[in-house]
Amino acid sequence: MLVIVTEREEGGSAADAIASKEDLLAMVAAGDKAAFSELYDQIAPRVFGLVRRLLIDEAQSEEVTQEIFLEIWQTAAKYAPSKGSAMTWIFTMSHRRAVDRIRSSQSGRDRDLKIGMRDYEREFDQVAENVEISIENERVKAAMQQLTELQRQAISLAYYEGYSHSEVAGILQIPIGTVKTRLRDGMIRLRDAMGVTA
Amino acid sequence: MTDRHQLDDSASGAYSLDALEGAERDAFERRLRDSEDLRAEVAGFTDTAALLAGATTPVAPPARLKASLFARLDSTPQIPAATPATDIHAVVTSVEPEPAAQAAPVVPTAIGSGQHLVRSRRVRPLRRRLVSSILAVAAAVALFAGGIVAGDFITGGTQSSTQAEQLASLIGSDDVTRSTVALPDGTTASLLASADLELSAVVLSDSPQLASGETYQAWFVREDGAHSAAVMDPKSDEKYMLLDHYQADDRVALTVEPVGGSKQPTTDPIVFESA
Repeated sequence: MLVIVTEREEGGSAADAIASKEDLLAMVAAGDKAAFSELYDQIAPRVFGLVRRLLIDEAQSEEVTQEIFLEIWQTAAKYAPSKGSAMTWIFTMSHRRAVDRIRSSQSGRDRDLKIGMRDYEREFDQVAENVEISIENERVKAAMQQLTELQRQAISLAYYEGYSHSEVAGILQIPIGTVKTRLRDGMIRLRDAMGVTA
Repeated sequence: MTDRHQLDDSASGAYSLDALEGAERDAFERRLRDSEDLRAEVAGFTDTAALLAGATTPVAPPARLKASLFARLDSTPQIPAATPATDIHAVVTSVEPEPAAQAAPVVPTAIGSGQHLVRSRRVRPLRRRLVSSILAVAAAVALFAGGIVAGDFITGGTQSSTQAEQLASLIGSDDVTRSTVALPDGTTASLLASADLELSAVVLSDSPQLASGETYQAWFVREDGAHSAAVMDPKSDEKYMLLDHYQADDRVALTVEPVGGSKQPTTDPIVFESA
């Protein structure tokens, strides 16, 4: 099982006092609002950062972020530590909800307008530029460099831009079957490069 | 056959990146249920994708977001955390005395909202399971409709337990989607839909506040026009309608119609955003 190290280096002594997200989720499941508040403070910037990257639009990102936290509040009891870290559970839910919003027609159109002809390559580089902010960025950046150019493009378009595999196929002008293969091969490489063992 | 099989499995990367849509996502999830190897691969990819998520730049949301979130907590019921069995027993036994638990029956796949509920049902005889199913429905409906008082469903609902179980299975399904619209009478309606189960439901936040002789009718809006999906019976206390034969690409709309329903919509439709 993977445990993601999500905390930046923010003073080791305080870290001891911070309850783990897994423990906090268990308390949230029991209706503990103080725990929910602490969990929110710990992870809201991560969730909002991911959602805003996908949705671009500030107002929609706030809306979806609030929906995600309400879902965490509602369904914390469904989180099973045996299946992975709390952060994996939360990020997985967050990404899915943001993509759901993109795929709902109106929002998708709004977003397309905003994205315009944005250069997705540069977008990824922007992530890479922020590499000093956390340790896992180094891991991700190094792992991304293990991919072929085409694998990296396909994964970035799908995950960071929220495009479906058929949209990715359209953008990269390659058959859908090739996109699927590329996404899968790319994920295998990333997984192995980052030492993830399921 | 072999080709199709290969194609399905090769979608594991796309699935883990949320790059599959609609019917294809549903098909892959069905395949996932049957294959332990595939589940293991997807689990690894999911962990990997979460690392990608962690590499995005954190952005502090505005403070008002937390304030408005916390203002909504009290009206947002939670899935019960590992409900102690004794609590449910207390409720159940006060409804009707039960014979001692019998051998565990085969567990139907109908209810899936919260593993603890599924687990606890295994050792209960039918009647008891039914009551806890309805409790599960109540909890889950309250959860999804955001504000329905659970007790209403246990005491005030006149819909059959079969419908309640169908609703519960819908809420518990893995692919359930939800969208909400505001209705002209001031209530809100939530659409829950599962392409896997070919079932959807419209759940109202409160009893309709319509003129006498009027009710809500639900429609599937397809390329060939609107098809009546369900009509609400204003004489009952019910706050939801089940819409059978839901298909993945269906749009669902509500209209106000005369009691008993119309053949075609006669008022402006209120359309749920498609999932």
